[in-house]
Amino acid sequence: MTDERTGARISTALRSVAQTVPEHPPTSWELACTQRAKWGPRPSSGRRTIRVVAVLAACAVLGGAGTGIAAASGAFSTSAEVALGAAMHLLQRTAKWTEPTEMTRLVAPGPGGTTLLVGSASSNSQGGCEALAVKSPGAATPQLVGAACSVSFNSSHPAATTSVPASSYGNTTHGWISPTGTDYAVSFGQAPSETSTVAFITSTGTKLVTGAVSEGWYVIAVPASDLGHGNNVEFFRPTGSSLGTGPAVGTT
Amino acid sequence: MTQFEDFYRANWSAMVRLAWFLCGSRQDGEDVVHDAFVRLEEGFDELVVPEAYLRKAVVNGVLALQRHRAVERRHRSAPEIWHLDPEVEEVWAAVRQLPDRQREALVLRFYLDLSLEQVADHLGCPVGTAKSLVHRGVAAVRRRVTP
Repeated sequence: MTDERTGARISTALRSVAQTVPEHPPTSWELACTQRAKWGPRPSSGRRTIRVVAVLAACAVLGGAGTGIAAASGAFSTSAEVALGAAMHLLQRTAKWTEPTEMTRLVAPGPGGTTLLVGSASSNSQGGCEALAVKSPGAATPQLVGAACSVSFNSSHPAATTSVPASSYGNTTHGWISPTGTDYAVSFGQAPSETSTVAFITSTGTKLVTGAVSEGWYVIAVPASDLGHGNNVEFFRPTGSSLGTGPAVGTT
Repeated sequence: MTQFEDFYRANWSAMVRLAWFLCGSRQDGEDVVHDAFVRLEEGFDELVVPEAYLRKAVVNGVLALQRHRAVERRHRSAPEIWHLDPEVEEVWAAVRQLPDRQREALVLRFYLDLSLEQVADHLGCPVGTAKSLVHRGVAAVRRRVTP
């Protein structure tokens, strides 16, 4: 292959990759600066780009091949968690992770008496995936309602010692439809080190303790219909005292 | 909408693409571009060709980033979730694995279609060095991709 031919292939490849960037910025200049100010002066201090991967389409097939993958892996031993595991395995493959990953499973009470199963997988510094399943009251098994994948969300945020701006990480994960007809959203991010529980504060000020915390990360599932009203998340110590609040998804 | 907002909207995409290709990370690229726009905004009204200034600022921003964040270079091959044609993905992966200077030279030469003289100007090196960087980069990509 000649230099010219290789150069042409490079040119073609770069132009193809370039098409994955939208033609226009996702926000106005003013909002971009506002977000920047909120998240710190240096971009490396808090990654806020989240990539949602194709998850609703993926969910459609999870009951088949994906379930088999999860079951065969042995990562999830109970039927109640198979769907969640399937989503995470699929997401890992989608993200083409090559490094060993850590996977955690969190169970939290959800709205309307439901039980939320939230899976979180991370790949060292490179990113993470979240998957959400909802188990309705009386149902034998949960149903996967959605999942999301992010890259580069791990950087420590200056505010992480007191609060975490959830919108840095999860502002595009809403819109999932649960078996009970409720839209759910998931916010996730780093939690202060002493955090035991996390609550979502609705637009009316009600605190819904629907989140779970594991190894410095929190995952919180909330009704998507309540997003966009300046919601906050609040972190609590095991003693119940508050560690502070941060803006939740949809507030930007 | 202000004149600067129009300029931002018109140039954001092209600059993000360029910065992404130069530094190998889209997220870092977006940050570099934002910084470049911030710097540009202050004297925007006085600039005759703000596009040229912006592009230079982005290239310089990436070069500065490369110098100061060597420790993060191992993340260059971090997964980025785009579904690409396999051949495109293969070439793109090969480009991302190149040493910084070679990748920068290839992007300027084959993405922006700059002349070797212009590549040298952007990289702040002699033309002969730019030519060598392009040649070695192309050779390295050729070795790594399916003929």
